[in-house]
Amino acid sequence: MRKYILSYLMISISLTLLLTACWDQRLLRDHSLILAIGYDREKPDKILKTVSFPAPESQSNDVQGQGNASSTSEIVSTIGNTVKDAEKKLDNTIPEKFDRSKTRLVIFGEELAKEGIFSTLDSIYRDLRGPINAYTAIFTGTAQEALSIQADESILTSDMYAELIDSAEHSGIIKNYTISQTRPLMLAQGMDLVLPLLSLDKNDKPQIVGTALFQGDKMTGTLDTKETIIFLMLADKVTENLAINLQVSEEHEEPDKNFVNIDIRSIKRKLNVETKGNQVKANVEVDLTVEIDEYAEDHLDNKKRSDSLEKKIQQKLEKIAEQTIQKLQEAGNDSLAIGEKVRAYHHSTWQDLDWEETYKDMEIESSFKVDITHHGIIN
Amino acid sequence: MLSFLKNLFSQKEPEVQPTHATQSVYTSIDENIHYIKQGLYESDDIQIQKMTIQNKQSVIIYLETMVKTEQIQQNFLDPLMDESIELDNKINQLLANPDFKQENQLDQVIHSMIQGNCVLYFEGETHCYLLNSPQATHRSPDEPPNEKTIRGSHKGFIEDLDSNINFVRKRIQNPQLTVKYITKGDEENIKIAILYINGIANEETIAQVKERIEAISTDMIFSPGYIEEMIEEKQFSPFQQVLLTERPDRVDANLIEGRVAILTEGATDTLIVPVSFFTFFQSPDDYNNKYLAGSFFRILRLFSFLGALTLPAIYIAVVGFHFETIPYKMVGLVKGSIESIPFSPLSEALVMTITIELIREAGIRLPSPIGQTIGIVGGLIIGESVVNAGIISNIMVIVIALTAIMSFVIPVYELGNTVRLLSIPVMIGAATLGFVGIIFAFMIIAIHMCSIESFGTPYLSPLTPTRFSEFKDGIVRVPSWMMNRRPKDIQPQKKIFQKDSREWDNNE
Amino acid sequence: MNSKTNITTFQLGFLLIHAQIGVGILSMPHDIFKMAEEDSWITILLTGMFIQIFILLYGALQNRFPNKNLFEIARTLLGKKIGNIVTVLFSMAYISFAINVLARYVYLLNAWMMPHTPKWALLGVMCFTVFIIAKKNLQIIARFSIIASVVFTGFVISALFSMKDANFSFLLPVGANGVMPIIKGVQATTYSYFGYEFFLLFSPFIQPANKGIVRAATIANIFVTGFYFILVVVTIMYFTKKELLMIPEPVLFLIKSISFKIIERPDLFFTSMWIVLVATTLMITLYAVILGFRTVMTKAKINYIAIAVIALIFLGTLPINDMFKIKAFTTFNDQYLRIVIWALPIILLLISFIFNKKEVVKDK
Repeated sequence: MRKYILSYLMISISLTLLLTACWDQRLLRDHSLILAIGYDREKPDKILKTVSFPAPESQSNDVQGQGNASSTSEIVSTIGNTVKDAEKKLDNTIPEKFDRSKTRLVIFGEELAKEGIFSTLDSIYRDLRGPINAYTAIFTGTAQEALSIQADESILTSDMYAELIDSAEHSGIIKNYTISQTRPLMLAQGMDLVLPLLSLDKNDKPQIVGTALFQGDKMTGTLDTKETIIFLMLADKVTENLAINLQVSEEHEEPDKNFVNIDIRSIKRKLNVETKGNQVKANVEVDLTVEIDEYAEDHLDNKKRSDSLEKKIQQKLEKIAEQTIQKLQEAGNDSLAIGEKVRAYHHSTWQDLDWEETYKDMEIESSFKVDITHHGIIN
Repeated sequence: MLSFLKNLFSQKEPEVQPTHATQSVYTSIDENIHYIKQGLYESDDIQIQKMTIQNKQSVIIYLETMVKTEQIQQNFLDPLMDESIELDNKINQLLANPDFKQENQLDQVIHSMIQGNCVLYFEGETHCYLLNSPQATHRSPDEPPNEKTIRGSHKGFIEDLDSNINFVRKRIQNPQLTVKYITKGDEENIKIAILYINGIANEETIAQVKERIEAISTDMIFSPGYIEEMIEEKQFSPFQQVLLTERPDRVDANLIEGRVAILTEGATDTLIVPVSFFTFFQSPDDYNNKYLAGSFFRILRLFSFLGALTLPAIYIAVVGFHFETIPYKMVGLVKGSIESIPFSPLSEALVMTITIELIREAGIRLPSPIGQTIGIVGGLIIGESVVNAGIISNIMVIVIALTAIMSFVIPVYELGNTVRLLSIPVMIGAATLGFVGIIFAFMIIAIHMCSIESFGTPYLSPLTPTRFSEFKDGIVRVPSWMMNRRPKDIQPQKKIFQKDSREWDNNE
Repeated sequence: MNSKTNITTFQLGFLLIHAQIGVGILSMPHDIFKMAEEDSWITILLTGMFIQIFILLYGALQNRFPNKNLFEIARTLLGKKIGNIVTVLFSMAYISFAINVLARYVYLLNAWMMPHTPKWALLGVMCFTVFIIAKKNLQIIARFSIIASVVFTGFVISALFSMKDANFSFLLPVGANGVMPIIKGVQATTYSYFGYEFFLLFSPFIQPANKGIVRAATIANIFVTGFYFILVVVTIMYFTKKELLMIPEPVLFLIKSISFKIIERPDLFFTSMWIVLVATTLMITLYAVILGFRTVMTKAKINYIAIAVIALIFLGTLPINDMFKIKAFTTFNDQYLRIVIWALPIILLLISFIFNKKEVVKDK
């Protein structure tokens, strides 16, 4: 009995000794949370890192004590040889330590994106607390510019951007990738990455202007918003709720009547790849079921009119698609994953090909089939 | 094995008790009075009344504090005084009354006086008569306040052993219900009753219970907790290995399932063995609810056990080690609330936990109006101002309050205390190694629980060793007509509990 | 006394599963992928079948000596002295296995969760936890391992959760690299399977005796194969080839990229849960070591053996502190284990066949 008590005592003493140390403790209250990061190229070969974090609340005005999250952002920028080097310098700028594990958004300046982003992201991939679930986006100017904007009251800059691209994805305008999702796309040979492209409008408000196309980890081209929508359909990446506005005729005097707005109810895409020797041919078929949202010309209960409208929409879509595919090929961006299909199903051909070269010159056809099933509650 | 050896050892020790030489009744009144007075150390509550009954010198001696005098008068003295019948015949008649006994050992006489007997002696005889008429005040069998149910029986045990056994027997009218008395406590002579149903309860368990209770060697048994600590297997374990209850219906159900109940004179609590961990999460109310609600609440209790054990620890680990796990939308809020707290999360949690324990401890013994005040002052005012003053973060207050509530959900109060105490080492683990520390603390607790056995029943059964068929009553509660077998872990002799009770439903 | 240490075949199954699945699950898809690439899943299935052959062979041996464990069988067949040598060889194999497990556990924890916590602290808590259970009886280990099985469901569910980002075409083409890589992959995989042989050691504890032992081992093997299969398939579908070669712990990386509404970074929870799997593997291994030493040194107290073994393992693990040392040690350990675990029982089986030695089973 006594032996028991002794050993229990010894264990508890040694445990308490152990407890005096807490090696890995990082207290939340001692860290400033970086919520958005911007990376830019500082000429000629440095990295400009900009971080946005919630401003520490002033102590004087808190009568209620605590419990309020700060709602204004501050930014700090530093220059370093690499990302980590710049980050080290960041810590000297504020009283708390920076922590980037809760980062929601990483923005790249266009210039840096053109030179390649993989090595910039390396430290995030490597870090055990790296924010690999953060969204990524490209900004047409510098990322510093993007993060320096004066957001409205009561919203953090990071939140504003994150919610902007989030809601854009929900309405099917763009496709977002988190950092962890970008990596396979950058590394795989038969697939490529696209990222949302942001910009500022005249009033210094952020807006989405389209999509940045990547070849490997380098940005090589852009698509505008309309092309992006078509691209998303071709690439089978539409999430939901997509609506497109198309011009279907030019004959009406009233400008409104020339346009139709369609709301896509369901979408089916088929990608067929054919190989003949070293020739690869791809064919993308998209089946759309749509609802007419707005069509001032009316009379959609007439089958003929409805059919002709369907045809007009198809033609219009195919025209934009052609243009889009051309841009994709010019940029060497295979985000339709044609290469992956070749690799998986025509492996012997794949091994003989230099895919980058083949892709640029290959023939990609696209065809749309539109079926109007609803037209609102009037004809 | 160890307890057996110890038992042997203790028996070899010389008895400390003064040896009573057996003294038979003297033939004179005065000698007897003298002996009895000596035997009771001239206690002042001895009443001696000399009288003459039908020309015979006689005396009655009793302890006035223990005897109901009117009853003696009515039941015994009045008939004896009746001159129409001869005395010897009268006594023979009275001897048919179970409360009227003949005794010739004086020490036995003294002993029965303590229990409330009155001694009647006729000059010149070698024996005396004991008139049993104890003075007893029983309270009514109210519902025990710590085991309240909404429906079902509202009877509770009282402090009288005979009445308690009476309650149980009333519910189980079965000749197989066996009561075995063991008297323990060297200075106190407390009667302990072991109840079980012969033919259902496992014989080995019964023998074990008897052996362990026989082995108890103490001057007094203050409360059932004494017995509990002396018969449980893991003596240092923080977990309850014996179920304490004050409800006759609970005892009844457990006896029928094949367990053994231990009742003590003067205590309202009944000990039930063997039990498994999950027994502590069952409440009689479960069976009055519909099975879905019953199962839901039972699972809720199990989760609140886990929650009470880990919630503060998880919070400490998250805030102190892994704040990347806080969802993005909450992280600003959490940071805002702990920004200006001067303490480390662990000390914050400890301060709060101890505060809650203080409030509970202060409120528990005070009369209820003051108890409520303590609750309000402690809970509301301290909670509110501690946050306002910026000493403790409001999230920590939420966490600790939630933990306390979760621990009170467990139907057995003692286990709730265990959980709150055990949560402290888990917290310390979390403050040292984060999630890793929690996992290790948890593993050690789980290992400990795996190694407990209560009278041969694995503590974590039916979870492990796994018997899926017993999840039916052990972990969830299925409809009562589906619980056809007794739990196997207590190894009952009779395994089938009921047959198809919904037979009428089959032929449609 | 004896009835208290007995386990059922159901518990045996769980013991074997926990002995097999341990430290390796987080990195195993990477190790196989290095060899077999897209065909790793075929490798897993093949390895499972390969291991099944051994289970059946061991079953044959166990059947001839139903009431003896491997060490006692060795003593009966080879005489006391050689039998003792075999027992020590086995115990040393398990000690080195435990050292390897611990070294990898510390390395991984330092890499993924606790970069600044010193090795000895992480080792210390693990050794302490394992010590308090390994010196108890097998029944308690079996009970614990059943509770610990909750962890598997967590892993499987979260693996399946990440299927939404999966590319089925990453599994294709099938067999493009020929058969050799697959077989090489099998070679690399068998290490993750060690543990199935424990039923030879635990067979005397099993009640009801002798029935369904091989069946339990087979079911455990199927479970382990299935579990590995799911993990491998999911990781291949999630990561590209280049990534998989770059990421040593793909399972954790996979879980790291999932994000739930209530918690982010679930990998932290999973790394913690994985510790439970490491602990169960160690417990069972250690119990086997103690069993071995007790067969040799019948007089020594179990507590002292346990303390000595734990101390040996603790000190043995400390110097293995970087990735290259771990790799080298794993290779050594793998070869050692193969010799001991595959060769010795088979030799014993052959001897038993050739000399027709069998245990005489008394009729009950």
